[in-house]
Amino acid sequence: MSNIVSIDNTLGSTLFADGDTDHQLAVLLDSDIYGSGGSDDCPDGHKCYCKTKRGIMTFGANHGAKDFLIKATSPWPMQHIHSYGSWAASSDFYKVRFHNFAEPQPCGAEQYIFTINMDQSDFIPIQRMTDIEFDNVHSDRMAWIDDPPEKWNNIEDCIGFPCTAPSNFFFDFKKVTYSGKTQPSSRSTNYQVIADTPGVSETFDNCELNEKNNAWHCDNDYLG
Amino acid sequence: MWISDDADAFDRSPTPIYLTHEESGYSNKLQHMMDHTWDGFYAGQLHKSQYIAMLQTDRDYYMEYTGTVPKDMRY
Repeated sequence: MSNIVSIDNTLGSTLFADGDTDHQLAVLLDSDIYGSGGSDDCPDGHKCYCKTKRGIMTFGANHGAKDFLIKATSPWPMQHIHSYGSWAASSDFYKVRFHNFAEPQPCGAEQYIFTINMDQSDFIPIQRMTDIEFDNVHSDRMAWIDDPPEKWNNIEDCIGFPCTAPSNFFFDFKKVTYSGKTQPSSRSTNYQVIADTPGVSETFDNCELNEKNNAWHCDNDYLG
Repeated sequence: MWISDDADAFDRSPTPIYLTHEESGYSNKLQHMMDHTWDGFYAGQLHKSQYIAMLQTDRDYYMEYTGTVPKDMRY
């Protein structure tokens, strides 16, 4: 997927490969992802729409999938996943620019650039981010990585305890640049963002918790 | 990331799998994949034996299965 412009998106842009081969790749290339457009989302005569908004929902790969552009109506939200995780998929982002995630939305709801798909219980590939630009982005809005929900502990998903995909992936940033009026407090060129998983996250070298992201920021090239 | 290539890889699950590193306090409890299929109300009880763990690659980890370890595995 390339040359995408996404603005004011509720769920965030996402892409999935499908099947069980060794060569599955979900790529976003040369695109621009914008945060809130500045509207209060309260049009006259209508209810307000004040929801958290997202830039990217983690890419992935599963045994089954839907069309690249879904044409048919569906009883399920498009991002729902009904099959197990694939083997050895990769998800890469090249030359992607993120703009205007500096403040919460005008209606008060938050907005984040990087979030996970809450159906991605089995497998989230490492999200490889190369040549990324953050333009007018605050560190608090960089990411929100949800914990695995307890409702995944069921007979269809993971029996006995929730599936663990969200605890076992990370965002791997290389060649990051920063611009704009608002910039993150830490402006590293190469770094990693990992989930907040007790017993795991705090054991890695050079990682620091950011509670506003529900995630840890690391300077550790040995993460894998 | 690793997967069982045994004939019963979907029928038999050795989870939870514990991955630990004593010096750092690392302890990661791993689950199998979601149910492969369900037929109306009933789940298929077929779970792909594939596991993913995040770790620091310059360390040696201890892996403990709570069932018989698959004979044929890919990493």
